[in-house]
Amino acid sequence: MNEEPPLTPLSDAVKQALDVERSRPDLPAVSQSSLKVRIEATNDFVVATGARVVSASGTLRPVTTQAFTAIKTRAGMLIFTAGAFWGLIIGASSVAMMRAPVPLTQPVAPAERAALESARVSLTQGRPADALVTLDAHAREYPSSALAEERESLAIRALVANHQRDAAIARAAAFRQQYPKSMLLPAVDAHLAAPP
Amino acid sequence: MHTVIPTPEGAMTPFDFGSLYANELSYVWKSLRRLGVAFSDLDDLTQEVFATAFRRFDTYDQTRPLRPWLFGIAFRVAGAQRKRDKREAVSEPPPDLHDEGLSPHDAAERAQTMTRVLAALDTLRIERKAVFILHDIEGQTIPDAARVLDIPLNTAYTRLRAARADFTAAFEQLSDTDKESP
Repeated sequence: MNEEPPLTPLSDAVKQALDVERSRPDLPAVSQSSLKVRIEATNDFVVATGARVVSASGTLRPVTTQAFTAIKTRAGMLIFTAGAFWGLIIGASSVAMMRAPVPLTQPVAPAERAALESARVSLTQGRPADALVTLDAHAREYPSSALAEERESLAIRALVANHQRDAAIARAAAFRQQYPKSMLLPAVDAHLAAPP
Repeated sequence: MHTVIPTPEGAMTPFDFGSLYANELSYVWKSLRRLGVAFSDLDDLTQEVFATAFRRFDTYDQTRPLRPWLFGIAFRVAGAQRKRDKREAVSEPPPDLHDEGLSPHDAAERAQTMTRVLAALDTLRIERKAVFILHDIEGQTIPDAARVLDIPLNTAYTRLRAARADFTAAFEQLSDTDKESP
């Protein structure tokens, strides 16, 4: 580990305030247990039915394929009623919405996961070229893998590390288009923003 | 304190997750609040964090502490939420400090400090805020913070430095404002 760059210490007033914040009380037991029941029910439902989970109007809930189609249809009707310009904008985000939910229980073969992990290890050990070879092989072998999103984000990181900045930028643009709501987007942006 | 969840060969059952919810619900809820999630969205997003944790549990390195990993998920969920439509905010009740054995005056003062800390945190950019919370509030090391946020170590230092400056400025300003209008 490199020597740590110096940090400005916090003032006493700020330190005391953070001490107070650290002692913030836990959620009341009642809220905890109702939330716990809700989360467990969702996850049990996912396991039992293989349903997808989407955030619709801010509420996370499991939906069956049937309900999911209904949501898509509603999104489609929205495009019709909106004006041409907003139609385009909303259209783009609706497509995003249709693509965004990831099947939670799509089976992932151990080899599929292992290949990604090996690429991650190559990357953290400073061998981005090796990581890229592994990731390309993964893309050929499992083109529609449930791990594709993760694979692409790793590939972008590997390209940056391998000084292929332009390729990284192009791949990140494709990633953003394919997974506009990806939770990995902030990480992808961070890699692109990192100094070479 | 960290939960140890037995998962032979990465096997995951709802039962295993029961202990995770029980132990970490409050932690996730508080982390999301500190990250700036509106009070009205906290329950939904807490659920989303656990749904994601459930789905991606095989990416959790069990030799590492659990909480920073959960925080990494909470950070991404909170970041994604900011880009979605905001619902009307419900005003937040002050933290309930009744059971802490404090005098009413001290309890009020502590509640006010907590509110002020959250208000100051709210002025920070979320990327900076995340490093600040992990290191300066939770006491995680900077390399651990960098790892769970998936950013280079130097970036973590840069963000922490900026976050400390931003937080201090905002906190002092809020303290001054409160003094002027008691």
